[in-house]
Amino acid sequence: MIKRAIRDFKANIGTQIGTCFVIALSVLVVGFFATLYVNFLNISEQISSRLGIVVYIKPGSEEQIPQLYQKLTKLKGVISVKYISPKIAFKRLKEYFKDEPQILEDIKPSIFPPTFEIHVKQALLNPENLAKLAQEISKWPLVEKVQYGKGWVESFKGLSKIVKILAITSAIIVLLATAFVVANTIRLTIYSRRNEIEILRLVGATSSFIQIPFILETLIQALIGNFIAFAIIYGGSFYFKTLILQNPILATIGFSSLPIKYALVITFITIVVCLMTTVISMNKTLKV
Amino acid sequence: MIEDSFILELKKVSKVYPPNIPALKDISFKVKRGEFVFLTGPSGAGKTTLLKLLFRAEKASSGEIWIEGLEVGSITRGQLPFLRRKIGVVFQDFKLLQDRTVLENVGLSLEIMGYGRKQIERRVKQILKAVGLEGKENICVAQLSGGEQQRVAIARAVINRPSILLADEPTGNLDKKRTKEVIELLEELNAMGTTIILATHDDTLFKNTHRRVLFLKDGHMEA
Repeated sequence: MIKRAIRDFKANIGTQIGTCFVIALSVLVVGFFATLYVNFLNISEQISSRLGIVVYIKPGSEEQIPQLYQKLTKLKGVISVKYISPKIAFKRLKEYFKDEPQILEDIKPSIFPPTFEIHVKQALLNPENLAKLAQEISKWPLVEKVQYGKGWVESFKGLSKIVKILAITSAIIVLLATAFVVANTIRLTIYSRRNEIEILRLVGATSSFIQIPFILETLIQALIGNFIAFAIIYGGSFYFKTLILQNPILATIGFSSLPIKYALVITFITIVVCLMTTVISMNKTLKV
Repeated sequence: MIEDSFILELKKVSKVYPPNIPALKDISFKVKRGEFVFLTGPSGAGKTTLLKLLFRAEKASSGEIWIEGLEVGSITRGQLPFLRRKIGVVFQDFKLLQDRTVLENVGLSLEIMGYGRKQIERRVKQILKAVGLEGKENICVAQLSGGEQQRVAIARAVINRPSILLADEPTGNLDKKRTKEVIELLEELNAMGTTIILATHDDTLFKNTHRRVLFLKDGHMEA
C-alpha cells in the first residue's frame, strides 16, 4: 500500500507538489498569526506584571494592616501584595525629585496614606477581573480609595479582542480554503486515474485497497506541506529574533518563536482536515 | 440454491435500461463446472450486457443469477470484490494499464489479494510462459501488439485461478493466426478445469466444435 502510494505520488508529481505548496501556504498563514498572537500574549504579560491595583487605606487603620494584607493575598487572581508605608512612599517621592529637593521641603511622610500595591494574574487579558477586584476591594470599610490603569486596560481589551478574532478567523478561513483545494486535487487525481480505479474494481479490489493509497498520498502531502511551512516559520522567527536583539529598545520586549506544542496542534488539525476532506471527496467521487 | 455440478445458473433474468429499453428478457440457463460455453448472437443482441450481469458490473432488473452458491443480485458492496475474485474477465478492449509493465498488469489480480512481491513475480512468470509471453514481464503494455495485449489480459484474468472465466469477444481485434492461438489457450485453461463462457459474434470460432452454444437475439435466448 505504502509503495503504491509513493509510486502514485511520483506519477502525479505536478499536482502533488501544487497541493503540498497550498497546504504549506495555509499553514504558513495560520502559523504567522499564531506567532503574532503568542507574542501579543507575551507583551501583555509583561505589561500586566507592571500593571496593578493601588489600594489606599484610611488614616488610623495601621494596626489592621497585617489582617488586611492576609485578606488581600487570599483574593482570587492576586499574584503579589506589597505594603507601601507612608515612609516608603515619601522615600520614593524623594528619589523621584532628587534633582529638585526643595519641592518636598515642607512635606512630611505622614501626609501619605498607607497603601497596598497588588499585582493581578493576566490583568490585561482579563480586564473584567481587574475591574471586579478593584470594585470589591473598594467596598471594604478600611479602604479609602482604589486605583487601577482603567484607560490602559480598556484600550488593551479592544486590541486583545481584535487580535483574538483575527487569529481565529484567519485559521478558519485558511483551513476551509485548504479543505477546498485538497478536495479538488483529490477529485482531479481520481478523474485522471478513473481508468485504473475501474480496472481495480473489476478485478476485485476492495474499497479500502483503492482508497488507502489516496489517503496515504494526502498524508504525505500534509506532512510535506507542514514541514515546509514550519521550516519557514521557525527560520523566519530565528532571523527576526536576531534582528530584535540588535535593537536595545525592542530587545526589552523580546520575541517568542511559536511554541512546539502549537506547531504540533496546527499540524494535527491540518492532517485531520486533509484526511477528512479526502475521505468525503473520495466517497462522493467513487460512490463507494 | 444451485446444484453442485452447476457453477452458474440464471433464472428468468431480465435487464431494462431507463427509461424503458429492454436489453435482456427472461434469460435462463445453467453451466456445468468445467464446461466451455459459447455465447453468440448479432451485435446488440445483449452478449456484453449478459456478461456484465454475471460479474455485477451491472445489476439485473429481475430474476436470479447464482454463481458458486451466491446469488449475485443480493450480495452487498462489501462482498462484491470477493465475488469478482472468483470470476476472471477478459474484456473486449483489454482494460490494461497502458503505462504499466506486463508484470504490474498481470500481478494486479494477486496484489489486491495481498500476495507478496516475490510470490507475484513467480506466479506472473509462470502464467506468462503459459500464454506465450515468457520474458516480457518488464515490457510496458503500450509497446505490445494487440495479440500480445490480449494474452496479457487473459493472463491477468486467470492468474488467481478463478473458477469461471468470462471472455467478451477476446478475438475481436485479432487476425486469424492470433485468434487461433487465443482459442487454443482458452482450450488449455478449460482442460485444466476452468469453466469458460466466451461471448463472440464470430461463428467460425464454434463451427465444427462439440461445445455448447447459446444464441442471443434481441435480448432473448433462442433454442
